[in-house]
Amino acid sequence: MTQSVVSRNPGVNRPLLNRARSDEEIANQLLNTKSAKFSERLIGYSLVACGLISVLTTVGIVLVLIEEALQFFGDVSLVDFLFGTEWTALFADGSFGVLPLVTATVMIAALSMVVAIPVGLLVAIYLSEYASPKVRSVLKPVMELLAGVPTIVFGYFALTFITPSVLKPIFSETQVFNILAASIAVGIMVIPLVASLSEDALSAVPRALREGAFGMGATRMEVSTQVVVPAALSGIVASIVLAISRAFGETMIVAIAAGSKAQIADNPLEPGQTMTGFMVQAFSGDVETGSTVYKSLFAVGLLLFLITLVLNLISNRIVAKFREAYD
Amino acid sequence: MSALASGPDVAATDLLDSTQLKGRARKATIFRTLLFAAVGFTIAMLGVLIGPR
Repeated sequence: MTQSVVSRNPGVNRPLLNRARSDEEIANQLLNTKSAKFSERLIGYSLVACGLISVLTTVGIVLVLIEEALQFFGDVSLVDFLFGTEWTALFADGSFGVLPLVTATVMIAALSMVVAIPVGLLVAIYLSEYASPKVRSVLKPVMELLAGVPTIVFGYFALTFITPSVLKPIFSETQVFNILAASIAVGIMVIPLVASLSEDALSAVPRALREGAFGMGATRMEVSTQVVVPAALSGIVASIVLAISRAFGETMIVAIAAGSKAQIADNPLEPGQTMTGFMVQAFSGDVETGSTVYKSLFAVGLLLFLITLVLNLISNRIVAKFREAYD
Repeated sequence: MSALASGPDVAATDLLDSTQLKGRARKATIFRTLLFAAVGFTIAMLGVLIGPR
């Protein structure tokens, strides 16, 4: 191979080629030693072990959830659990209809997206298409700072600022614990997630597409909304679905701000209890290990896991459908 | 070139219709204002969250 290269290129630097050849021989010799082979194999095994740890942990969690949930469904029927409209698990003779928890969870996730998607997308478009490199270098870390605020702080923010200073003056019937304040706080919490991931997707759109649109006389807004956003749609949708999953699984904000009254959520100004909110309430109390209430925690956890799994699968399908490949 | 020459009979003044241009410029301004508002909202929320109460 190298011989034919040399014969085809008479001007090639022969001393340099000879040196490269000798370097290659030395490298081969080093790789063929016993210790080198052993360390290579060791690194390979270590990497496989690292991969297995995360996979096995996930499998273990799912197995525990399924095992305990199956025991729960020995006490309460699956139909009563999925379609019952009363959740009084912590009462003496409790009911285990999960619909109140599911409706509150879905309502909080949906309302939080009303805040997070428009604001997050607009921030992403600003960072990607409008901001100068200097402004972006300041704004991006500030956004990441917001993502680093502990969720319990957002919970108190909802309880002590959003409800009394924002919602009460507008809706006088707002209760102290309410779904809307929790939703707004969750929405604000996931803004950096939507903005950061969407900005990455927008920045990955090839420059030639923008230049083509500018060449046709499009304004910056037209380029952003009609060229760049459609081209980055798969990444944007993925960020949104990820944010929805995050909102579904959010715990501390809803536990603090939404209250602990499990009822079918039909009014966002009233309290409601989400699936994670119930788990916090039950675990922070004195639930007896092995009791039906204890097992119900795993059933609720399994349902939450399945909802998140379905959302992730939908996200993968959407990403595959809208994916645009550019050279 | 020939395609341009035999294209629809549109006057340059129609192509550069000032009302249409003004409309596009207005939309662009509104959009830019929205972008600034979104960024301002996010920064303000951060300020309220971590700032002194």
